[in-house]
Amino acid sequence: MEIVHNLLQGLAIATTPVNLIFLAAGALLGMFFGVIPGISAANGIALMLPVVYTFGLAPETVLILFAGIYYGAKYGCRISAILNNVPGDVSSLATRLDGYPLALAGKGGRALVLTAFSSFFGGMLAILLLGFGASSFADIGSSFGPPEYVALIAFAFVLVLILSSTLFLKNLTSLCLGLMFSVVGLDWGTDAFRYTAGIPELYDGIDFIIVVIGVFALSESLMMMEETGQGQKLSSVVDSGGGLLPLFLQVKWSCLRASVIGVLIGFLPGAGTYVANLAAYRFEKKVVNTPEPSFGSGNIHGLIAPEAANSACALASFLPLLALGIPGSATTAVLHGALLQVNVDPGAALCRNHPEYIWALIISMLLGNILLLIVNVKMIRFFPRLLAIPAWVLMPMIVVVAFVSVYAVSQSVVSLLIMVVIGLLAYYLRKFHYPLGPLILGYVLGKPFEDNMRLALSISGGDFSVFLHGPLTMVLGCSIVIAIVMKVVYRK
Amino acid sequence: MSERLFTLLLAIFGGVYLWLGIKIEAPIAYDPLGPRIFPVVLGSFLVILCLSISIFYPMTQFQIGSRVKRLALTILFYLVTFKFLGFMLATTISVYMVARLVSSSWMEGLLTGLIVSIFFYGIFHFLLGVPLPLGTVFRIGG
Repeated sequence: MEIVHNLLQGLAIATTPVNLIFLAAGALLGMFFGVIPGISAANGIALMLPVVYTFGLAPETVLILFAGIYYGAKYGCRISAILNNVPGDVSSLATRLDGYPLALAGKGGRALVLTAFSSFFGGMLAILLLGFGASSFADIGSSFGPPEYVALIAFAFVLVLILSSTLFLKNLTSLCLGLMFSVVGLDWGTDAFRYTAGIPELYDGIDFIIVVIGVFALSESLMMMEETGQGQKLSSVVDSGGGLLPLFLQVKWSCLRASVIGVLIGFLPGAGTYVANLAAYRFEKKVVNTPEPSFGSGNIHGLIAPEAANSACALASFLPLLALGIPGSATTAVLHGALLQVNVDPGAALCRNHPEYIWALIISMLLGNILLLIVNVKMIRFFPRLLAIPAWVLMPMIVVVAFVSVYAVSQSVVSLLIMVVIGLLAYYLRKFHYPLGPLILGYVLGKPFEDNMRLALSISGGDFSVFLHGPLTMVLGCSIVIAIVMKVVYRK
Repeated sequence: MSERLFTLLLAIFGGVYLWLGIKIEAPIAYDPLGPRIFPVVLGSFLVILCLSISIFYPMTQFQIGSRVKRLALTILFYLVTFKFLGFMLATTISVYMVARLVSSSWMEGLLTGLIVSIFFYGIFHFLLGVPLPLGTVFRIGG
């Protein structure tokens, strides 16, 4: 009965006019951020922070808004991948392989509608599973003490290191830099100033928004300057996307397989939507034997599977985030940090004290997913126009919004300087093929990792074997070993 | 820029981080690790990683494009003038410079600069209640 009570409370919260407005705004803005290459979900969330501060939104509204931006962006990033062969963000890397050839063949509308269906399908599967599991979120989180959190964060670090496609030592360096950023500030408990150099802006650590905007927005604007605009861009969608439901039903098993892959990867801390996107594509390539067109030249399985996995993963990643307070990817790390900034602390305590927020979020995801499906099916002819926004409008906007967002939150030029320095560092890291995902994850999880480790050792009196006791730490420890072994075996 | 130089700079950063980490003083020490261990480990680790990368991985280099250089300079100009010239003027000039970098005409660039600066000033100052700098230069002599 308690579940029904919480569900009804959640429904009441999610359907208040304010929350419905912010749900629609979040999902549609997110979709817009996803469509435009260079403005990802992470940027979108960071750029919306001043708005949230200023309006003093309620915690559940912030959750609904940021979640909407997140899954809206994951829904939207396929559009640029299909029409322009440039993914809106890396989450649609595999989608372009079969989507772009279809668009070139005049079937862009069909590709957009089919991927809208598959994204919807993947998203709904993840929402259903979140709904079934929501009542036990608080129990999952409650069984975690400091040693378990250390083991879980270590597991997240290991996964993000081994799942990234770049060179291992560079992943590790990126993670190390993120952890180093997280150390800056006043150390709780010992009152020691670490790397603050007497600058008041650093006493509370390097502000989250400074790091995120520097790493994503500024470095991206520099990267965009290098692009030469090669490749054919489609100025319009010529075919209609109507009557495709029977065709979609023919590939329902591919969609289901990919969604399950997406959900499983989403549940893992440390993996991201782009991993799900690529994994689903590769899996379909292995299991599906269809005649022409082959994979890479407009195959429908190769088109829908990555998008189903992408959406399923995005929504499923709310499980580790909500139950344990552990983000599963760089973008969810940004989401996590943004929620902390507005005093919403995802984790067991939130699930235990405010289960109605969790239900409100799940119901909002359901409504948001339906809204996105309708918009993405009905407005396919509008998308090429969205992609045709001239660079001389887009580029200056990114730079100005980056500056204004940081200044609005900190009111300090020193903060702007730190953002610029981090942006330049991130640009060089990207140029030398250092991934930025581990950096952000290290920055967000560094503090809880260190704090929990020190707390666990304080409780145990400095005995390191505390990390080997207990069933959960053992399971997580074994998972770390298995993940490393599998990576080594897979490489061979 | 050469990757070898970048790796060297990262290693120096790791070394300085390590040195400053060793010097961290804890007024109250209550836990076995203390506030110093984590930074010291990270600083050392970064130095070791940079050395390993320079030994085991091939070093590349790339030429920073002129547009990237000019954008970086524009960002620095915006940073320096943000308070001095004030948001409206600094934004108009910087947006014009960025827009010209991506092949706008001078009219498009100027209009974009004016519209963006007025739009954001309006949104932040009047709607969100966030004060943006008006420019210290205009207070000189006043």
